Amino acid sequence: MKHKYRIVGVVFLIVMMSFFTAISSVTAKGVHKSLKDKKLPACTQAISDDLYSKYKPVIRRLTKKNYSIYLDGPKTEGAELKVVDIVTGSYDGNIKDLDLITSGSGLKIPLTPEIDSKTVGKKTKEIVKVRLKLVSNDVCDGDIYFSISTHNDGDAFSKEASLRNNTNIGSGEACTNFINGNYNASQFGDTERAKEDFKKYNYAAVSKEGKAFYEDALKYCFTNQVTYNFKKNQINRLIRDTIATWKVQATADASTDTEFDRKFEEVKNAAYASMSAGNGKSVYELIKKENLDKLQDTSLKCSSVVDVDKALSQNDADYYQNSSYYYASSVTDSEKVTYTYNYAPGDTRTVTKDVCDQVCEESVEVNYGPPIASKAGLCFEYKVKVTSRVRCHANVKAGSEPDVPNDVCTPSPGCSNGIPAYYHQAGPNEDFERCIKDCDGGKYTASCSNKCYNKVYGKKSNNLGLNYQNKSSNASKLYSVADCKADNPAGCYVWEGDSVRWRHGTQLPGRWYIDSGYCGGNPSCTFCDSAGCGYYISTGGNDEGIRRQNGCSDVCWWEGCSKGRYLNPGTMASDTADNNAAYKVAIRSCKQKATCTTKTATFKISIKYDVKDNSGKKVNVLEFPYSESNPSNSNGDKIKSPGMDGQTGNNTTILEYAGCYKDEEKRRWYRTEWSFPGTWINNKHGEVSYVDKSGNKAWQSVKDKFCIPLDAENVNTNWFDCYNNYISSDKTQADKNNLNNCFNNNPVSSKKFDNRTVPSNGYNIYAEAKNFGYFGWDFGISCFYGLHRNPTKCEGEDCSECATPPCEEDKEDDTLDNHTIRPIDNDDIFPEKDASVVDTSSKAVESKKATRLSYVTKLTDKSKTGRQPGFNWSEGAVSKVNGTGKYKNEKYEVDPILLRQKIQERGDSIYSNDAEYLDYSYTLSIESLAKIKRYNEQHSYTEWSGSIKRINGINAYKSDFLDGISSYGVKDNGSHRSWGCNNYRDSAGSNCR
Amino acid sequence: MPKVRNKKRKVIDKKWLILFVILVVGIGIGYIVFNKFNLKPIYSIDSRINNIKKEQKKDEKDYRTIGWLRVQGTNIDAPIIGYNTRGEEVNVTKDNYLWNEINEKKFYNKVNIMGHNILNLSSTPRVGDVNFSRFDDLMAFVYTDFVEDNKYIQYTVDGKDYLYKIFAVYFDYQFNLNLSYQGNYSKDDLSTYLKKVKKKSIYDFDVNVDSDDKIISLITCTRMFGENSTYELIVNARLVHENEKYTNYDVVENKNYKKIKKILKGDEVNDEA
Repeated sequence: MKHKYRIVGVVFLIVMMSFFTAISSVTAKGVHKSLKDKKLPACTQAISDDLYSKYKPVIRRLTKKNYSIYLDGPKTEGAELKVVDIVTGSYDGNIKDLDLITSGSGLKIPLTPEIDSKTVGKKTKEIVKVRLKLVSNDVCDGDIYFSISTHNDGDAFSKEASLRNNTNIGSGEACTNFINGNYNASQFGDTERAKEDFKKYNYAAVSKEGKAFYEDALKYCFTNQVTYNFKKNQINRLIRDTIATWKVQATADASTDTEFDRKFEEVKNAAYASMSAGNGKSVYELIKKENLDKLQDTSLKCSSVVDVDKALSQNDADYYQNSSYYYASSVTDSEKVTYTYNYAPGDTRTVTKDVCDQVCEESVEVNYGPPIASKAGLCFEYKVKVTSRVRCHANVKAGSEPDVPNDVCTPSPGCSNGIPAYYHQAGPNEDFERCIKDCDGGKYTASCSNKCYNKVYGKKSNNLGLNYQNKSSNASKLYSVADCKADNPAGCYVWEGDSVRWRHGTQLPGRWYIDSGYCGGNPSCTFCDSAGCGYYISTGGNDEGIRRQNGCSDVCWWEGCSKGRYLNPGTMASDTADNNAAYKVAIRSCKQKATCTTKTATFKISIKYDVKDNSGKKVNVLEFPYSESNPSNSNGDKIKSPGMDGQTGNNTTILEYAGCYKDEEKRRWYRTEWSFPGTWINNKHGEVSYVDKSGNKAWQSVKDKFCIPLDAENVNTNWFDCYNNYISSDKTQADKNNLNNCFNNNPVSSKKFDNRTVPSNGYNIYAEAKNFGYFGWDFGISCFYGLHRNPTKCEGEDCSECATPPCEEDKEDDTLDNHTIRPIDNDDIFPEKDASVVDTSSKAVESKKATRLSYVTKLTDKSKTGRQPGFNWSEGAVSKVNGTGKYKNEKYEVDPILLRQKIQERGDSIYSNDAEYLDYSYTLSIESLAKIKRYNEQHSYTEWSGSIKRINGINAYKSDFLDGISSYGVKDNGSHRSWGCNNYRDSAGSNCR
Repeated sequence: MPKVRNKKRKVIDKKWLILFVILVVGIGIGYIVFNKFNLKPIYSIDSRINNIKKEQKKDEKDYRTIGWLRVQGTNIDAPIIGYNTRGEEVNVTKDNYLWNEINEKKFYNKVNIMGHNILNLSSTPRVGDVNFSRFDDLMAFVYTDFVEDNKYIQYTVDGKDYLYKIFAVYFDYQFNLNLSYQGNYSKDDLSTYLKKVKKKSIYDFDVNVDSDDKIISLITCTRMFGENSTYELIVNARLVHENEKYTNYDVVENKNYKKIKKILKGDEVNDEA
């Protein structure tokens, strides 16, 4: 029983729960029913089709596709409007499902005309007519018709009049002259060059290909119907630019420089051959821009096997016995052009495009001289020459041309009673929408939404702008209203913030009233809105140019055009001309040869030698161009197009520069040749210096050469001996063979130039070029000089080696018969290159009739050296032996430097009657002169009859003729001469001057 | 006697049993009534008056904080600003904000609050994403199960917290919203608006509302009807009447919801609403 009651209780509970659940359900359904829609009353009567004046309807475009019809007329409570028909065109059927909004300020009816798929892209114009019935208290108040003039461009609708298919009224004479080849200076330029270009490249004169080019590039001149008309000056500019472009193209096609290309290919092939032979630094194909700094070969070495005959030749072509070849190609930076689109003042945008790529190739030839056999105290040059040639080919990029605008949007007037034009938008901006479109095609997925949010607004939300409508990026203020009016004299639509304004010129009403044909296109109509002509027009403020019936009672605005569309046709034409010109300039630049590089090339040359000092050998490293403060480290000589960048003059290593380095117009090649800048030698003591001593008579210059100091140690002696032995030989073929064998058997160290050490043999000259040519190559060339001093005998015509150990004791030596005796100019004893010299060596051509004057021959070949002071005329004759403290010639009576100075100071005045400097004094009679004359007829000028004696460390010559001159009837008045001294103060010969 | 006592005892037992049953039934009924008839408060006001004061200290020249808004069931809990400058682009240096086109701190009988929806524009809106701010989360009101549980909006203005009951959710163009209506709506205008709203709402709420009520509309952007559509989602609520409890109330989908349901299922995506 107890259990029974429990069961009853549970059943009861379940029943109760079901009961309440049922009640709950019924209640909800009841609510639902009570909220059912009430149908609109049926329209039963059509009263009138002319209610414009009553309802003042205005069509307002809200977005690209959305329109609203505003009715400002008296609103009756409960009144409803209903769209009942679309007469022409199509519309969004859902309009019917939307309520017609009634408010204190009027009625709004949204309309969304649809695009007719048949006419998409055809840009046809169509009229959508909408008929409404005003229903008030279940009674039709009447029908109202609206017309929306649209054009179908596949996307946007606008209700402005189109500017398409205008008659070409701008081309006229300008195009006709161009097409027929009639030159007009004011149109095509009044220079001779312009005239020649026109004659050669006008439409009538060019080939079939040229004509096709013109017809495409200058469509405006070949079309009757155009989207807009250019001004005369714009057409002239277009024609001139197009002619220039075709000229470049035609010239580029025809301009084959055979010799240039032959040489380019020759070097290129040599580079590939070198590559095949194992030089991995010879060829670089399509190297990337970031890898251009890897174009280098700093391990070049001159060959120690030298063609000595050529090395001694004065022919420059024979000098360069070593050559290396290189080739590289690379895609250079694109040619860019920036197009400007002044859609309207306040909406200027720029777009930068890559117009073309240039594939450039450069072949480089490095020529450098052979090693040098030199002597202490002598000077030599070491020349390096680098030449590069450049070829570029342009590839014009598709789509790089400027956009060709073909549509002007004409803002239309919109008015309402206090209804604002825009609200702040609660959605994303256009950039976000584009990003989403690109990301997921418009699905707004979470990942794309987050990605685009960060991209467009940044991670900080405060970058989320308030007003998203028509946000213009890259807006520029440069295109002013005044600029615009210059292009559009009637007036301009301009953007002020996000609102369009009309700023009138010659025409007070906005252009829409003309273009749309509204009110019959009559600009003098004093009033014009949807109701027809009226009487009021604003000429200032935000609604300038809008015709209104009620003066200030309406709120009016310009609408219907978004940013990024041209609002003014004159501006569109102007921009098109400008952008076309910019494009053509860029194309010309592409097709022209590569421009000269802006890179600065650096050149240096270094040498090292060692000398003995108290601590042993000391390494001397000199780097040129020379810096006294830091001799072993030079900043180098710098060259950039067009010319030296920095120092020139005596301290420069540069012998020659050419091509781009000389002239910016020489775009296709580069060349630099460099060597040692030169050395200054002290006349008194033979000291060398690399610092400019111009103006100091104690120093003389040896240009473009390095002079080895007298105390320089031997180096590369084996190689030197090979070289020197060949010079002393008869130079037969056998001698040449021996020479090469000798070179091969006595190689120098393979280690390239290293400025830290001076090996007994090895490379001691290093020339380098950095950032050379178009791509900026680096080269380093190691070479050497050899020096082997014979310490046991005095040799060479200058006897400059008679230094260590001290010279032999004085003695007469009649075997010395190979002398150079020079009549000298007392004003300049040791002239430079272009001075007069007399070669009186035994190998000189003898002539019995030779006179002193006939021996003095002016040298015009500047490559020949001037006269250098020999050992006896230099400080070397009296200087101390390094490390010993002893003089080389302790008995040497003369200070040679001082003597030279004294002689030059006095010049020929030394022959005056001043007895102080008198060495000899003779009295000649007629008879004695006759005797001497007869003697001369029997003997040549170089028939030396005197004796030679080594005295005080030098060789001295004593004339037998003068000793026996009394036999010719000449009276000897006594002399102050003696062996080893030119001039004694007294006849005792004890006080040498 | 023992039998009498036993009988008496049985009678007492029956009484206890009946009493127990009645008690259980009563509790059951009470529970059902409490829950089924929505007598349980589902929202409690948490004042935002001080929040407004704090936020106002961060205001800048172009805008000012004029109120605060909370929406039940969402993360919408943000200041409302008014723009001092119109017609120009203004950057708001607040991480989370809503706005009223009417830059007034006064309480009106029709309030329009707008807010950005940037991250939740798709045709299948998400609910409660941690990245949401502003009105991103308002799109939750397209889901019936969400609306069944969340129906209150707290609006703080002029030093007072107001609570509203949602009575309509619909879609419309922004230009139909008359966001610049100044001052209080006239009864006629409010009546007209309510009529439209009720007709267009995608749900039927068990809420009485008329032109004497105070209305709030929350508006945000959506692309539910296609990427090119510019419809707004509008959530409407009326001020809770005096002595009216903050309890739940019924809501059902109506015929307008069919299209929404199709879109949410992915059966229909177009540019039309």
